[in-house]
Amino acid sequence: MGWCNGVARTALMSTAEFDSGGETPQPPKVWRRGVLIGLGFVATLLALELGLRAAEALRDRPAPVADTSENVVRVLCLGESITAFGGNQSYPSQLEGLLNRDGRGKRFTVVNGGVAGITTETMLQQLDEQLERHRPQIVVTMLGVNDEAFGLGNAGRLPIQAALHRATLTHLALAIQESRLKLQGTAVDDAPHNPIVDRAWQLFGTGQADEALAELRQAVAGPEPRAEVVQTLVSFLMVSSRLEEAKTVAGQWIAAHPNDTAMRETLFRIPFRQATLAIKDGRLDEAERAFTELERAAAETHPEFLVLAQGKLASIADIRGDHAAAAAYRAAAASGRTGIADEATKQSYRRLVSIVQQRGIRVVAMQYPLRSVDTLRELLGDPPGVTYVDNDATFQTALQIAPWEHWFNDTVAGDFGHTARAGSRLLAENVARVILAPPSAGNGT
Amino acid sequence: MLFNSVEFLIFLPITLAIYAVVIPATYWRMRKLFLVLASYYFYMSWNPLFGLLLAGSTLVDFSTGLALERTTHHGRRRALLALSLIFNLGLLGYFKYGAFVMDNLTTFLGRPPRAWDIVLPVAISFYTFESLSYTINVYRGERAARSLLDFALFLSFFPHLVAGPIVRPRAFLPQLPRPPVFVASQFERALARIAFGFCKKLLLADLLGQYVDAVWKDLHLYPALNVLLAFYAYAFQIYFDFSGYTDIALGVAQLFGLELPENFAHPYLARSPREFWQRWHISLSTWLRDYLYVSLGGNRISPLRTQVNLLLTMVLGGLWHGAAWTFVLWGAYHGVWLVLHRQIAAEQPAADRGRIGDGLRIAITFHLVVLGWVFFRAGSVDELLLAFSRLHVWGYHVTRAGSVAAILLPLVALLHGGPTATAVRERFIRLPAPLQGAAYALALVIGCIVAPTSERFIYFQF
Repeated sequence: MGWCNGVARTALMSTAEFDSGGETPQPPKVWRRGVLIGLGFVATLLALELGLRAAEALRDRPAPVADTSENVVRVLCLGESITAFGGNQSYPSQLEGLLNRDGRGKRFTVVNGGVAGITTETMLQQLDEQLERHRPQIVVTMLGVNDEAFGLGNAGRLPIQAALHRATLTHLALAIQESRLKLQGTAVDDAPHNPIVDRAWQLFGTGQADEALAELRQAVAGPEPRAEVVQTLVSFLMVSSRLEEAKTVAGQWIAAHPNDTAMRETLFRIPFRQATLAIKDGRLDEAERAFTELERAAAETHPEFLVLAQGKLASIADIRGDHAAAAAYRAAAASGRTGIADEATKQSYRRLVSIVQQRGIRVVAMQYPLRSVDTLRELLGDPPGVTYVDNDATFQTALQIAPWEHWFNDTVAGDFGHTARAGSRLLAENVARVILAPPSAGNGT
Repeated sequence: MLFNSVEFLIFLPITLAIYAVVIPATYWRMRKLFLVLASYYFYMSWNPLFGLLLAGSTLVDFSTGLALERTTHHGRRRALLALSLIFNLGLLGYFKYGAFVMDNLTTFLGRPPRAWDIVLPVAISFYTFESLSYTINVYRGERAARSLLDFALFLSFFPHLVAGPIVRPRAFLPQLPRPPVFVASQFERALARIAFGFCKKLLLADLLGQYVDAVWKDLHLYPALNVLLAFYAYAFQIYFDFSGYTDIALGVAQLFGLELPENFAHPYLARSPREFWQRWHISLSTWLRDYLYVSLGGNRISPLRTQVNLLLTMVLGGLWHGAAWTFVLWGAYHGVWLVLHRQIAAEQPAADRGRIGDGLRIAITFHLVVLGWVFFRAGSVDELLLAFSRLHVWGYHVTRAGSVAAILLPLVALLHGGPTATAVRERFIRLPAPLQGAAYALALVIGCIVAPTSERFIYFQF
């Protein structure tokens, strides 16, 4: 008992409870106070939940916006760059033409609500404003691919909110989520920009890709280039399929800055792009070898790329007509898809659909080209009243008729790209068919 | 397992329930044994191998302590002390400074850099110091611990394990022979301390940190006023981060009926560099004073030697925070101010210290410390120079995070100058219990809305 004589103990020792035998570990008072604190805690959360529910019940329900007395049907297309790009060749533009041609006397106006680079979460934030402004009767959605691209690590719900959800304090959890979004936003980019990068984007956006590349190359070759300039150069090189140069630039940067994880990831993306181009050119054996190798490498060092590699292998199997193998790869990919991005996409996409539906607006959910519509159905939880647009089979067939470049401008998402005029036409046709189908025809797939 | 992780929110109640409810109070040894096991589980959740290091440190210093007590032979005692020093500093050196030494050596010799693939075990800086202080104390004549169980708990007790406070044997071991007594007010005090700590971390430190990180990430793009704002914001970020962490650690320890030493006392109200170190990370600065400064000879040799010792202590103290030249610079920077202050104070004895004089002293000291934090925050010497060079580019770029920081700063400064946190908490726990619960619920909801997606505690990396 070498340390027994401490002075710090004496104050605590003087309490009577301890001297009277020390049988009870905690005198009842601790329990009583503890329980009261707990009660106050739970009661407050409950009161907030009930208050929110009451407020929602009392608040006037928004009058259904869908106004059938007019003869004009307004369609709003929500999506990212694949929706937004292309001007009068974009799929919403072509959709308007098709609907008015086949619409049996009804008039249609289609609004292109695509925002390049938008994530589902940001789209959700802007939803109310979009709906108020355009007052559509039909909303077409094609969303989610940017969530994958940006790896929405921060957008997921807080674990505490999940706990509140489980405790059926759902309104409170949602109110927290919505206040968080309003307060913080997810895509606020108000940091100062690098002028070199800004200028490169400007050039790139106005079709002067070669000039943009030239200026970036010059900046990177200069003294002490900044990471974001190098990153921009590598991205532009990848988009314009100068993959060997992209690999060299990224490799040199990594050699000098071994801790730049973002660039490491980019470097890992390059062989993906190379193998994707091989699919496009019909060099299937080469592509399959590359992706099998990448699948193995991803499993070891970059698990976030595993699903992508498996998806590609599935596409290759599909093109060969080996649908059993494709299904096996897709199943493997599906089992690996437990990432935060998926969860965040699911949360905000589902919320988006339910808000639109609450306003009495019809939702047409479109899957991306060459992706299975079943995964979209699963992502949305298959709520009643949603009709789906399947672009998987159409584009598979299309690729057998004409090469990749005929349908797509690039391979931006890995397994598909920004649609060219013909690709947008396919999208528009599929959407028009679903919108014009009689309601009894079911899910239009 | 971070304090602000879900795992910890599950780990803590289960551990507490088993400790306080399942194991009867009369089985005190079993409770202690359980706490040791829980602490090892906590530590090994990072990496199971870390447990071996901690156990190694425990066994080496426990047996060294016993052996030291058994012998009076001077040479043998020195050998035993050296054994403990070599073991603990060896661990620290190998894991923490290996890469740094290797890096600088290869650069110096002009060889290509080689990878040093050693994971730095969290907490190692803290428990090697705790373990060392025990052995040195016994060497200096204190009694050795008799119970291996108590000693193991002293080193591993999870609230202080990963980021302090650096507990002294004399402050902790005497609490262990007899079971502590739970009283209601202590439970509420512990709960309030934990909640206040979380508020400091999530609402103040993380919000400020969002801005600080944004600026330091793109330093070359931000003009002077942004950089200055980031300097001040970081001073408060690091304070609320670390003192918030300490509050949680002390509160959690209190839940188990054990007391840990205080680590902060309104550091930015210090009137001199010397006083700053009596108010900031107290458990580290007193450790450095008692075991490094005093061992170097302290102020007993000559005035010049005193100053050299002071400077050396601060440089090594800086290096303790991490194997980088920026930390060495930071330590040296504080060392120089301590030396200068000592010189001035010696020449001009404390005569007139009016209120105005104090205010000025506080302002000067605060700004010296803020400047020091720039060294501390910089990821490299290049980044440090870049930060200072940005001060020549006049202007302010409006960002949302910057506005939040600019609004928060005067608030936290007022908070810092206001009543002590202890006083506020004491008043809080006198509220009726259900009201306290309601306050916790509201704080939780507000925290969920306002707090940025959480970051690590700064001091976990040291």
